[in-house]
Amino acid sequence: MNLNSQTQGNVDVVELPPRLVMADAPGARNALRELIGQGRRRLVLDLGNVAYIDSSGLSVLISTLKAAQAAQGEVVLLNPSAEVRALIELTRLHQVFEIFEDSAAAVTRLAS
Amino acid sequence: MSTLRLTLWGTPEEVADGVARIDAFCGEAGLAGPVRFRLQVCLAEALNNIVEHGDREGGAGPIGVACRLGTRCLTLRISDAATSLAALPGAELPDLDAESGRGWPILHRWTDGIGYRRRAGVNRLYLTLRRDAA
Repeated sequence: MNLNSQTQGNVDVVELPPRLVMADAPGARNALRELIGQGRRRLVLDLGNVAYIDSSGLSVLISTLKAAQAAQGEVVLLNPSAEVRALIELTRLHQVFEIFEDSAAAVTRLAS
Repeated sequence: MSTLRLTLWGTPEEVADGVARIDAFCGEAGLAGPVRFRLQVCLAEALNNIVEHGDREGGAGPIGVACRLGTRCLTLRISDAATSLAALPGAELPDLDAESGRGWPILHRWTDGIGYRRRAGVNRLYLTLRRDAA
């Protein structure tokens, strides 16, 4: 899976696809781990385009966080829809991830 | 009241296609807002469980999905011939950093009713969602 990303200093803002479910999870997980393997370990995962995500998609977020932390990196989430945010909160993942509405604030947080 | 019935093969791609078709059916019938998102997620979680845990030789086998859309609620009936559930898995969420185990907790929290029965070697899972769910 190809994911669009934008590098801002030592932070990468990665756009996640509109659908992130079981069928898409292995490709997304591998693409994100590949980024981390290349040393890009401060990631803003942009959920702005994600219209539909299930627990397999949530597992991609968690595995990416673990991989980044293992490389002394960090992951934050950006701009989830109200519905996606509701699912994140339902599963308590807002206790694991910082969530930002503003890209600049997310980048500043990881660049600091 | 309108009903859509589908038969899916138990693969992740078929699950995604089936969820999209049910979602389109419900959207055309006027379902919107948070409950439509919940429908997508809950249907996906139920089907994912069959794909992941259905232990028939050669995979999960065919899965029947019936979506009945009424004025007040919608009901999903999901049928498969995999091994029976000894009991419905619980609603407790896994550890925060766990990479699996959230499917059933989501189902318990985002549906208004869950029923399960096995008859003649076929599992039938019933999920009910109120259309006015906030």
